[in-house]
Amino acid sequence: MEGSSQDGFDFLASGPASTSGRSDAELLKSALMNEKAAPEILAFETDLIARIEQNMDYQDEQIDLLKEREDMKLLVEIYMSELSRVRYLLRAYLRTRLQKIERHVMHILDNADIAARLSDKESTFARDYFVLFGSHMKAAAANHLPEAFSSLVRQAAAHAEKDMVPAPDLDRHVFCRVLEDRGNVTVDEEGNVAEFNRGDLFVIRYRAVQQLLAEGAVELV
Amino acid sequence: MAYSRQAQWPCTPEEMYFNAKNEMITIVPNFSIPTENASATCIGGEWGPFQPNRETQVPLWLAHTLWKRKRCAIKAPAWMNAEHLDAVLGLERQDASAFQPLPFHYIEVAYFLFTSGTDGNLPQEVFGDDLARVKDLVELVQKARMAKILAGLATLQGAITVKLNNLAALEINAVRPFFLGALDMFFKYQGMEEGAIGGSQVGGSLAPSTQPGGAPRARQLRVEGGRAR
Repeated sequence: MEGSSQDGFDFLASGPASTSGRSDAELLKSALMNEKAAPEILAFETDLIARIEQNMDYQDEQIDLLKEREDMKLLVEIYMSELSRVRYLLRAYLRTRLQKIERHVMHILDNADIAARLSDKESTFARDYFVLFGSHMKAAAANHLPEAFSSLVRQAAAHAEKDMVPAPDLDRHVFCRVLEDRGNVTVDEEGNVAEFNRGDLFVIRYRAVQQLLAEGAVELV
Repeated sequence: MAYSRQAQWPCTPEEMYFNAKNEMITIVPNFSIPTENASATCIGGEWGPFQPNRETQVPLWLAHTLWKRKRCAIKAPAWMNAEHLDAVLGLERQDASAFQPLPFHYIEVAYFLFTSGTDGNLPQEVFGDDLARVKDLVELVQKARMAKILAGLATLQGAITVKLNNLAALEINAVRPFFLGALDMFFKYQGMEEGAIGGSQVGGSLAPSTQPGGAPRARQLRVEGGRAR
């Protein structure tokens, strides 16, 4: 990360203040806020997290290299404070996701396209958690009920639908900030539209911006 | 319901404060670091160059770290200039339907500059003789904005898309549970009124007994809580 992009492309190097070419740390912050505000689990930021982890390892190495040098003491301190901030963000991001996975584990495992949003480790966690949760519920309650009512996902065995799976409420309202000009966007079922210009802040139903959020055209705040 | 309430308050004020410390601020360092171009390359960007008596922009947390070690002086941000705040306050009071552009984390930044490092007198150093006035003005601006937000909330009539340009982070956080909760309920009732299709609305069949007297009638698309810049 050092030196490679510095020469002719100084103006492209991620200026921390600019919003368009945002640095990884800012993207991580944004990912965390999205995850916190969205009712459902979002796609895991595989590339971003990989880059962040790589950068963190690199900074760790830098600190090890420099910490003996008296004249670099301040720089090492700067690196260390930043590292702990980024580490916190990363942990908060992963934890928020774990909480959501626990809350909607059956819903997530039940839908292949939602299950695909998890990272490998999260998938393992979700499955293990579900096994634990399921066997506990069975042992504690479900097995003592008549067979027709002992399912964890159906209120009665006769119901065709899985009507006992808690699912996120996509009709909840969220605060969102527009990151790209999108002109008129349909915001409800009746075809009402609102104009989305960069920098606008809306309170809107999550369902209306679900797609835009996945495309990165809006962020939740 | 309890858990969804909680879920609607995704950020504690402490977390907001943490995020706010990424806001940029100008400092005058009194040191240099012996790297290639005297700057520090971090994950969040490249900061510097740090050279004695040359202004540079750094995030608030870094400014604080350096200041605590007496390695820099912090400059007041441009928007915290007393004249500017005075003008903002005037506009804020004059225009009831819009919010003036201020940094997204303006409350936290002000709080930080007013309260940090009192032992070393950071606020005095940053604002000098203007301190009391700037403090007053920030508070007045904040109150004027909050009053507008509350007045706006009182006019909410139904589940609609609301545009709130320039609303700040803590202001959002302050009204989040109430605002979003109210809109969610409006939306739910609206669905019941139209004889919600599908059983996704819990308790949809109980509608008549729980319906409010003055149900939302006209559905405007948006209340202009702010205007496009």
